[in-house]
Amino acid sequence: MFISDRDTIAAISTAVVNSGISIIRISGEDAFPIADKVFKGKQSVMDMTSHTVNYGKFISMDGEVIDEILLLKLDGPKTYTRENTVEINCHGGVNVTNNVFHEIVKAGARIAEPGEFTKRAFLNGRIDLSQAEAVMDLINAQTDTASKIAIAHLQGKFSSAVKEVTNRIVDVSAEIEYHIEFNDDDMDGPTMGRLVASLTECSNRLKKILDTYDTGKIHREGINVVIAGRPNTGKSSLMNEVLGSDRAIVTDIPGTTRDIIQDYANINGIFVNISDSAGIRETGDVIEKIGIGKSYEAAKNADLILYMLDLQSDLNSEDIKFLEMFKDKNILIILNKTDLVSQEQTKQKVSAIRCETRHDPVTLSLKSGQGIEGLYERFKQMLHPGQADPKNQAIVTNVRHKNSVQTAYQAVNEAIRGFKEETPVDLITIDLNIAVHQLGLITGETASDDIIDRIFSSFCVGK
Amino acid sequence: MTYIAGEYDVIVIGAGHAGCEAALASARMGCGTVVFVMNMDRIANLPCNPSIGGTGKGHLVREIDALGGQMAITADKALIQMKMLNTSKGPAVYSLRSQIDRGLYQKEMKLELEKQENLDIRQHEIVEILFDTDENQVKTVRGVVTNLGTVYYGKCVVICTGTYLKSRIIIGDVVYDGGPDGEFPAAKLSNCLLKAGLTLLRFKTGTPPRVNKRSIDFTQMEEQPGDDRIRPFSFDHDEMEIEQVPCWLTHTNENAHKIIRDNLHRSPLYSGVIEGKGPRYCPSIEDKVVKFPGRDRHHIFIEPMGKDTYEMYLAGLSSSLPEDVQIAVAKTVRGLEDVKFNRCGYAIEYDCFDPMQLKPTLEFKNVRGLFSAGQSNGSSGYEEAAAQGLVAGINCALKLQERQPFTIDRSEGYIGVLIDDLVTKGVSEPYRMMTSRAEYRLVLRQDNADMRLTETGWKIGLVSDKKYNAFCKKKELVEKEIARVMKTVIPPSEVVNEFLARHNSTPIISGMKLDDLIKRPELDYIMLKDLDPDRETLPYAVQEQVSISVKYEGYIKKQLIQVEQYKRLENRKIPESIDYKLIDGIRVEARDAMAKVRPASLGQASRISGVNPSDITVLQIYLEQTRRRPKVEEKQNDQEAE
Ligand SMILES: Nc1nc2c(ncn2[C@@H]2O[C@H](COP(=O)(O)OP(=O)(O)OP(=O)(O)O)[C@@H](O)[C@H]2O)c(=O)[nH]1
Ligand SMILES: [Mg+2]
Repeated sequence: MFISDRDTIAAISTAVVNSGISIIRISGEDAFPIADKVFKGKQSVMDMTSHTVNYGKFISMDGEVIDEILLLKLDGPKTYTRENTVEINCHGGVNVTNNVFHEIVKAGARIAEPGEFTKRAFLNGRIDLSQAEAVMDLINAQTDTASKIAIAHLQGKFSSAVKEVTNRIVDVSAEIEYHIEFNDDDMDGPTMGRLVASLTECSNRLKKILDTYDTGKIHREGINVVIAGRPNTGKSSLMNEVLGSDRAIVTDIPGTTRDIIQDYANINGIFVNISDSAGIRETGDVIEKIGIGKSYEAAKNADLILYMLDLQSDLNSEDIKFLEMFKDKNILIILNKTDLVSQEQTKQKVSAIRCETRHDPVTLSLKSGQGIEGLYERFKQMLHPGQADPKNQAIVTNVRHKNSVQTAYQAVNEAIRGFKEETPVDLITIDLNIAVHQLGLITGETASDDIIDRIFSSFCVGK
Repeated sequence: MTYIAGEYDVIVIGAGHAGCEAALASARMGCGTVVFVMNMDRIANLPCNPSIGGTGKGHLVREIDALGGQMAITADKALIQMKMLNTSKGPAVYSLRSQIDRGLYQKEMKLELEKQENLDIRQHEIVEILFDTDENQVKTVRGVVTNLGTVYYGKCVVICTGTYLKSRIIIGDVVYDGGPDGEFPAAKLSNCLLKAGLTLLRFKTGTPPRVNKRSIDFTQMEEQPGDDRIRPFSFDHDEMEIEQVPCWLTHTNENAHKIIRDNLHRSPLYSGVIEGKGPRYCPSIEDKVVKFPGRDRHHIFIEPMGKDTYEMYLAGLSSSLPEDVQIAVAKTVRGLEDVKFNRCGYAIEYDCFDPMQLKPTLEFKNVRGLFSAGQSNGSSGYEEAAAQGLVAGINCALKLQERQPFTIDRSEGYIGVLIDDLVTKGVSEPYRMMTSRAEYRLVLRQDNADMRLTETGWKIGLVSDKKYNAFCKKKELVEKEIARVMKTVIPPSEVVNEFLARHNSTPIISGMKLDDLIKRPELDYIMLKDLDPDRETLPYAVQEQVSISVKYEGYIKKQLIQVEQYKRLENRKIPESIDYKLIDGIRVEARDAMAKVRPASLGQASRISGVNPSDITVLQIYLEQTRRRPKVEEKQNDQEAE
């Protein structure tokens, strides 16, 4: 059930998020060899001098270049944790950072638990007693941070889905154990068929949970929001509004924004990676063309697209093409500049848009501020856990959970294969135990006594 | 009049399966030992099944043997049938189950005790245990008092009272004070234990009727023979040839069930006469009928009580219904229409300890030198009892010799699982060994018990040099043969592919490693002999080891990874002096539970019910804090590298 203090751990440090640079820390015995698997520079990580910064490429385990990074090598014990430590500065956005992080995990690091770096710092004598007590508070105060509350509902769904699957697996285990302990006969074909069917159902459910990982990622790792639309509709104005600063240039010249402008914001407690993009139109301007290409590219990677329209004009073919292209995405249509048209016109526009696009637009004026609260409200609704997904299903929000579900999924499939290959049932239970154990890491429950209780409640035992 | 009758190193109370192992182990390790038994003719009695072994239990018997205990050797001597169970269910759960000549077993075990140097046997009921109490109120055991008022002094005392403490027999509405098989109960000892501050539980178990063989129509039943090749319990015995006696299978039916239902109001279980907690895995027939109304029949196995007796045991008909109902039920069963009872079934209630009062050595945490083993610790079964007796006996000797205590962890043996479960989780019903309780059962197989434990048994001084040398030789043969198999390549040929085709196995085109062939589901080491000309003739036990180790290598590796993770937490020891009240971050519930169990390691702490992972983290930090406290001061000025 428990985490080991000897593993090499890694975590994304989000402290410097606003600078657009992320730091990933790796700590532990194998920090250097693990980093070396994914780093390509002048020297191997092992050969670098301690406390030096090294430039190089970050290579995925498949050999693909993911980012250019700065790597800081720190020999223990002169480090925060007193262990060998590597800090990787990557300057891609959230996506790149996540990719980098995943590769480090693939290379052999374990995802750190909350507070684990500090815990190690203490265990290794780096920090003193009073600081350590603060760590304990951290470990105990697991429930009342704002973000926890925000995702509690979602996690509740998730863990009950996990528990259901666990339950089913435990039932299968109990039946096998009953056969082993108390039944002299071999398991018959129909029984095995039933168990395989039940496990197949488990496998399917786990797969489904795994598939939600990308949705769930929003809540843990932030959400990619892209503002798109035709030129001069007010995209950059919206960007500045959200950031509360004059980050993007605003002029009345169509085609002002030429490149993607990216920054981070916190909207209602949800971490947002927001991008402003070049206005979409037919153009002969080479630079603008490239910019528009990037707009499409950004929209493709977005978790949510804010599509801006100017209330003064109608939907045109560019708009329709764009909306059609991204019809599977989360899109929120914003009708801007209510200050320039009558309320009556705004109303008509809204129903026309509803009709044509089947989207429910928000109306606002970035100039007067009218309707902006309404935008945030809609934003919250769309991102609010549980409502981000219309089917309200269980969503994996955390990489560690995802890994557990993944391992459990593989183990269940191994067990199914075992049945098909007529592997002795006691070996099949090894895989089932692995699955139950992994799912238990999520729900915090162990099942061994459970299995025994179930044998007695479900089967007639004893000669 | 009290007089002092003797002084011993170790005193064992009771000569059932736990007591015999405890007494023999202690005496064999050089301690002057006395064992008390209420009736010399009941040493090592088998008051329930005339059978030793079974799923999980067979593992215990082999482990007892691997450590130099007695049960396996005596069981082999009294064997009248042997069966390897679960052969189709996988190597981890293969289990030996035997039918035993009950009289012969007792005779052989008694003789073993009588022959044993350093060991005296006395027929007495023990009515009191004597303690010394020091100025800190810490109790140390001093000796025992018999029913004649005689005092025996001893440095260690092992309680192996089985089901005898304040035992009551219950048959229908008849209740009387009594032990199993018509023996007297040990009525007085409980009070002195309570006074010493120990916690007792009340448990219940039961046994079915015994009937005369002449009154059974075996033609109406299915014969259940033993295995063709007998695999003995003891690693000392390579092959065995005996004439085996079969068991017989028949079933209950709706008529039987109706009689039971009609008479439930006369059952002490349902009328509330029985207070003790009974075992779920060994329910009475009335329990089975009530709990599983959908089943139209239940198994009844008819087992011989021995070779020179006509008594037969009706496994599956355990009952505390009135005698007339028991007989009426039995007579509805096919083949038992004219059955004649010898003894009727009964329930027995008895006192036992809450095992959470014990250390993993089976010594009480609160009384130095006092140990308990067997059913008095809330377990059930002969094998579970013997295993605990062995561990308690060994630890008495080690303690007196001022050597390191002996414990087995969950990754080393079923004995470890058994004792850890008892002392860490406690019991809510008589505890029976089951393979599903062992997390790492693929490495805890019955075939490799010697590989796991014999070296330890030899170091302790219980395994003889002769046995140890035989073990070393076997180990060497196994290792050499595995190495050879791993190197052997089978070239493709007509003969080879013909053989493969015959076994529904894909033909080979190029040379194939022998171990890869062995790993194919449809093949195994033993049958591949024909394709493996360099193979020497090896003892069967060696072949078995090689076969399993090679074939299941992948799964074994998976399990070894789990074992390694388990060991890490197990090796984080918690000092005995720890004061849980001083640890702030632990929840009250978890703190109380830990204070009660006083776990020896973080691993054990994590298995206590009511303790969750964050409690363990806090505990772990606390342990490091105290360990490093002096160093932490120095490091306050240490500001480098933040
Ligand atoms: N009256 C009025 N003007 C607005 C409003 N929102 C934006 N504008 C103006 O519209 C013009 C274009 O705004 P931007 O934010 O630069 O538009 P954009 O979509 O980023 O344009 P490109 O970068 O060229 O694609 C500016 O002059 C803004 O001041 C609004 O709500 N009302
Ligand atoms: Mg712009």
